[in-house]
Amino acid sequence: MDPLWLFLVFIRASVFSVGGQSGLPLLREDLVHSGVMSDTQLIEALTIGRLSTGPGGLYMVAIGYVAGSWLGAALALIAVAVPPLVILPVSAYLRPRLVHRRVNGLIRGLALTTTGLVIATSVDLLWSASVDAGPAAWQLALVGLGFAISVEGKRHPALVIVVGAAVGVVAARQG
Amino acid sequence: MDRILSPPADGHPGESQAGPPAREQLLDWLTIGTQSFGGGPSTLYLMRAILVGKRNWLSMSAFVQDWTLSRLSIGNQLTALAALIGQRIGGRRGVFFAVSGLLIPSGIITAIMTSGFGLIRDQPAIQSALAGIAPVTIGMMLGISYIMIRTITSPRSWMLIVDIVVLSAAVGAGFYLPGSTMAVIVAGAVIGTLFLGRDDEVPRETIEG
Repeated sequence: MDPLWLFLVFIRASVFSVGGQSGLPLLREDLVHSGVMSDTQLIEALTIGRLSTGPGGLYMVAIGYVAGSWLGAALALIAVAVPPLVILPVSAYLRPRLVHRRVNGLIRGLALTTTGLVIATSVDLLWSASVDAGPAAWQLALVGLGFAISVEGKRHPALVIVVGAAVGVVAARQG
Repeated sequence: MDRILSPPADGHPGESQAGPPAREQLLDWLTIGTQSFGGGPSTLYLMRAILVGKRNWLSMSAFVQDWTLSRLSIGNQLTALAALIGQRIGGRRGVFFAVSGLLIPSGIITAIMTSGFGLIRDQPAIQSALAGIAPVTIGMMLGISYIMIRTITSPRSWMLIVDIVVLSAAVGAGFYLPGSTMAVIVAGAVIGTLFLGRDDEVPRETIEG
């Protein structure tokens, strides 16, 4: 795989990330649709990103490792680190304009559209990860659990992921 | 310490090249990077607790100002926040300590975890576990999306309708227009700049990094 292409994929996703996993739709478009990795591997990388330390954006490092081993992880890490540094030279200009109508409109528009794309990607991934035509009832219940814990924000994500893993093992034994 | 706590009169953060001892800066950012599990909220909590509470290297108002500014940044917002605080605390050297301390160790940990997972992922028990882990992870992504929506939509009813229309259009495009991700994001930026700005509100996007 061309390292420059992989770096550009991660830089593009990083630049257009506005919180959370908003770079995910772009990464899926570039890496899954081109056959570099599968939806299942993408979900696995996301899971590891949630379990690991540091800012949430480091899920890209896990995706980078899956796509290109240690070089891919390093390129993804650089891609996560560099774009936010643009804020330093422009901070003097932006600081007095934090409440400017156009500026907060731009951020709001970006945040709304990337959030909408993440919702569509999430639902699509749920169906891709299902063995049958769609997710089983117990899997939908786990989606609800993950949603509730995330909104509550007081419990460590690792605990919920352990619960999900245990339920998955029990469900496999029973059926 | 006043130099650090108070930005210069023009509102630009103090770019001192000295700041607190380099070793202390680096160790604190390493601590934040390696001990914040679960993403943005815990990272932000540790930044505030260590840099504002324990060290008193910047005031809470300076922290909030940098946090607001970081949400206008492209890319990972917590990295932008770390860079801004690092600059305020220790100038260019502070930026280096902040960004490298926050990202490099946790990035290595993430890569090692991914590598280790690759060794066991094909075992039947792991595959069964993944059938449960995947929906939980997707649920958490949807939860974060909900938090985003809750914090960025306008409290005013007619503007809320506009926000929901833009959001729904993006969801629909995500489902029915494969390959249009970049075009949708650009359209969102243009529509936001032209129609979604508010004079009386600062952006309130999520802190999720």
